[in-house]
Amino acid sequence: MTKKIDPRVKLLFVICISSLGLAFTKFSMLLAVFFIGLLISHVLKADLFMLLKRIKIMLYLFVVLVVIQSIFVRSGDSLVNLGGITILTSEGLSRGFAYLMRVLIILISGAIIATCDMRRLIQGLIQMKLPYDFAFMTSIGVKFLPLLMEELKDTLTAIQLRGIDIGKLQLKERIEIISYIFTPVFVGALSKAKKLSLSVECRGFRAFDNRTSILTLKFSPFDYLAITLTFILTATLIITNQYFI
Amino acid sequence: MLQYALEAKNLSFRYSHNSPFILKNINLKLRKGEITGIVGLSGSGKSTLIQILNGVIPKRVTGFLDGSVYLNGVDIADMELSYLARKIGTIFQDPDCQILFPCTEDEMAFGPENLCYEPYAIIERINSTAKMLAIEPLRYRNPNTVSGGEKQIIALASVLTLNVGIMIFDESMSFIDDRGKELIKNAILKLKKQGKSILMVEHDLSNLEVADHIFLLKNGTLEPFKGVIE
Repeated sequence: MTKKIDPRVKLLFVICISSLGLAFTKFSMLLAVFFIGLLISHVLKADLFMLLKRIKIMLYLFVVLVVIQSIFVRSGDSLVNLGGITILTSEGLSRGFAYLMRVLIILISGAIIATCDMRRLIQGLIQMKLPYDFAFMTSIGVKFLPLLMEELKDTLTAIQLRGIDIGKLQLKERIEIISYIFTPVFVGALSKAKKLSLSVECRGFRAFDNRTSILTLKFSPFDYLAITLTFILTATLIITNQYFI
Repeated sequence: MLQYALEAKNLSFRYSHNSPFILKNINLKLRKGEITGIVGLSGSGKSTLIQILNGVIPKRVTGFLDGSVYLNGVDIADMELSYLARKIGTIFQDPDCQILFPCTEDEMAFGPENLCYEPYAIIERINSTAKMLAIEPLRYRNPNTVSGGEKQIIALASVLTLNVGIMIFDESMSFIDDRGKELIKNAILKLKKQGKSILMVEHDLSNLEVADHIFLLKNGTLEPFKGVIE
């Protein structure tokens, strides 16, 4: 089914769930959007576990942000009180979880987009009248992310092979090491990007304002059904949020 | 007067006014159906020379260039890079920095699509190139999951679909094993038979055993190589 669905339909899914995720403020509605996104990603066989593994380090940051968000909101009923000082309020907890839901919805959106074949995604964007160089720019960015991560991993391994165990370093020293890594990784990524740009220019990229394609995307009846259901579901969620909750 | 497929006349180049000359008075002639090899150590100016021959210098990379490059007898100075892309194909060292798509067929279609060829003509070119390089089994495979040699063959195929007459190989055998090198060398010999002009630039002399003439690029100057390949 992943292959069957037009990438433009997947883009529509993502636009709808991420817009709703940003627009809704009520926790219950965000939870609903999250579960709908989870269902779509499951149907499309998105690899959520791989995504979570890749952003493992960032997940700690999200948890810290949720805690900070919860602590600094003063309104609402006091839930945790230490020596007369309110540490956590009901409103703070609710906002913290809302923030977590938004982050998860955005991650699910990314996982849904990742199920698209890059060539079909580019073609979809071009057929949506996006200038083709912009469409390529987006997808080349997606291609370069794992390369950048690989480069970072290689540099970290090189440092560890010189006898520095990063895991055992103190935070200050770790930050110092990371600042040393940043330059070679950044320069390496720039060099790769330059080589790639020369390679595509030597194959006539941007020779003309338009380009032809051996691939043309056409919506299937299933795509039309998915589009209709997405609009109905989005409208239902908006109405429910507005009038019933 | 004999017209060469590509001819460099009195090329000298440096990146800035203060920097030393990378290339000094280089003269090079590429004939149709011949393989020319250039050997040189790292930092000898091989890649700079290639970038001048394919027009990247000075059209994209700036510097101080003297001398001229002639394509079939016409100075390339006024030619657009997109026009040169139809005449001169360049295969770079690292296939990972050339391959864009997760499917070989899409990779091969990329160049002709940029030049606005009709889809049926692109498919024909893909068919003939895949047959010539014997890469039909790779056609629908992900180039990121094949061997280094096969990756480089795919990079070569993606340039050949542009139907260029001149092929430049910039140390394209550096990242691959012996089997991969054999694949590339066989492909180069097939291209020679088709009448293409080929320039192979390498730091490893043993990769130039298929070349008809070999030059040595040393200290910015080009001279005929007088040694032997063992």
